[in-house]
Amino acid sequence: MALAALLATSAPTTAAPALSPLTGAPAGVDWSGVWQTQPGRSGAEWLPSEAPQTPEYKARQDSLVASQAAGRADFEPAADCRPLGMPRFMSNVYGMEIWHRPGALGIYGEYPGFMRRIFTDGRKPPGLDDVDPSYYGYSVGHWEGKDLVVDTIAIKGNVLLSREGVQISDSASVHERFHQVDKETLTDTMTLTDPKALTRPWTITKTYKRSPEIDMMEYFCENNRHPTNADGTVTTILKSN
Amino acid sequence: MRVMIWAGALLALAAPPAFAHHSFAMFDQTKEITLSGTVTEFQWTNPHSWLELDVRTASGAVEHWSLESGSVHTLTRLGWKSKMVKPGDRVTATLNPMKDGSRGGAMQSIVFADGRKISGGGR
Repeated sequence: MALAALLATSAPTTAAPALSPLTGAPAGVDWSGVWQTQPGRSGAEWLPSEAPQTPEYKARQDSLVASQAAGRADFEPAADCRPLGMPRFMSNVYGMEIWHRPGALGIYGEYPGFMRRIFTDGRKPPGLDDVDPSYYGYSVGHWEGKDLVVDTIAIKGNVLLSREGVQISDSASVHERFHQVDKETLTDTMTLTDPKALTRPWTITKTYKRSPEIDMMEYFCENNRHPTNADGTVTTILKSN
Repeated sequence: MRVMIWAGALLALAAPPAFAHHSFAMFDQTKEITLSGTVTEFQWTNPHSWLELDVRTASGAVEHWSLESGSVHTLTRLGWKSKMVKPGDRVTATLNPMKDGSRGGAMQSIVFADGRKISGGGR
């Protein structure tokens, strides 16, 4: 009888962990607070030299770079106060603040002043026809032990991966595993799958360090003095003009 | 290319993170000029801050220059405060000038009237 009860309550290792009613995270997990991405390097950043691009998307990148070098439209979305989008958001060099609550985890990027929301309420990911595309996509996560596993779909096309003009398509999805290495260190292993832009899935692992010294500031992109004109050229607004 | 990436990583370790919100292709980054003048306005704004400067030329004419600096975040973490510069202050700024010769530039460093020098954040 006792053995049967024990067997009935011993969960398989893949079972979802019990979650705190206060934070929605498993016991012993508290990532709340400010973190900062560590400098990128091979395998830890979307380096253009390592991008497994399809010929079509390589040509797009070359065209964007050539256009910018010729003084035409700056493709960098930040130049026009446009959003970074996923997965580039996770490479933001300013502060990154994590918030736990039951049913969701929020990641606030000091730049560009946006909170990415990951649903952890057990909902099933929607079908691609049931969710409209957005810059940061639709993120659904679940806890596996003390790791948070997240799938993001429905990211708008033509989002850049980095400053160098490598673009993703409207078919991109991101699979992430957040893992706390030690008290001060969190990693996010991201696999980007994009049948149009990439010839194979591309995985990097970003590392974040706890950075309580960063006082998070507001960010509003309000004073862009390099607007892009209708003909694609860029003007620098000088008061001396 | 690899060398440049590593140089960037080293810089990132040595200094607070900076993020260029746009291409700096309009500035000649191989050239530096130094201007002394009187501040007419300091825009403490994102994506970047701007310093407006009246500069008296040798002939006595006043030329106006617009100098692009860093984001509010980058400047704060370089030690700037919004009230460090105000209209009427005399400053000396070093900048990468506009390639097209117009009176603007990316501010590399600034020296205040009291001799304090600080990074200009414009890179």
